[in-house]
Amino acid sequence: MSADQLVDAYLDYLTKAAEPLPAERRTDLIADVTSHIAEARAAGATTESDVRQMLQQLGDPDDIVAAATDGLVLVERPKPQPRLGGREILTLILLPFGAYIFFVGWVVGVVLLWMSDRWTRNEKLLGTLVTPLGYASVQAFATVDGDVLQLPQAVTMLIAIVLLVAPLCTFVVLVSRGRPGRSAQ
Amino acid sequence: MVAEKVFTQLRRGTLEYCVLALLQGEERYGFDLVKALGEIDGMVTTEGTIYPLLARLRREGLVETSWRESESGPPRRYYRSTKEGSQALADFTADWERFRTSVDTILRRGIEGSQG
Repeated sequence: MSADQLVDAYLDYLTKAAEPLPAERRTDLIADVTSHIAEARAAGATTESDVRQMLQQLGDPDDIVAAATDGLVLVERPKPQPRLGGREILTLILLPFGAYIFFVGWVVGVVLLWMSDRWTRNEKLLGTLVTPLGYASVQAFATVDGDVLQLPQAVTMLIAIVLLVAPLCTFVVLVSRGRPGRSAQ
Repeated sequence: MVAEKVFTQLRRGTLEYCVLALLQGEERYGFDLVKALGEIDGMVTTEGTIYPLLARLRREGLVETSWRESESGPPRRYYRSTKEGSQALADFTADWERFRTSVDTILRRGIEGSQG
């Protein structure tokens, strides 16, 4: 590595290590170290081995950042979570269609729904109650109506439409409202 | 080697007063200050850590800074002790002398004990 490359690598490392610092401390620190290096080079550290030795005296960037951290409590920022994770997507599939997977699919969907942190309690109630068993309930209604109830056709149509649309509405509500941390609201 | 840790702590505790001492009656820019400390045996192991220390002294109002052009390159940040800085140094110096005397007295007893 050339002298310039050594310096660039050092400053890159320092910049990365300094990321958790508050903005003002970070820019000050990087400016101070950058000008230290410029002064040292102007004062005669020209060859690659000079520069290497100068950087060694300057010290490990992690140590320098640790010194700048002194007296600060750094809060580690959690990784940003997607609005809906894989588990939530599975939940949204299992609620309307899970009943077709040996019935338990829907139950699993409900359990996942209540475990998730993406929805409030009311939204979870909505997901559970509209509609129980999801689209299987439409089929169940059709069977029961045809065999037992024999409702007028207009009423049958109305109920069928409601049963078809309701899970879709729930789906839309859950997708649009879902966000990390809502369960705590 | 056992003392290594102790001296790391001592250095950490006293370095800011050494910096203040070097700034009494004269201004220095960062690099100059670091080099001056580096010339004193055993005071600085990681030169870069002096910059966060200087930043803290500035936040605490013990030093003040000003930017000045240099003939050879980018402008320099000069450090100067404030009145509070000089007072803090004077207080520390008095405490340090008392402390050093106490430690010396006890260490001497240790030497005498091992000889007797």
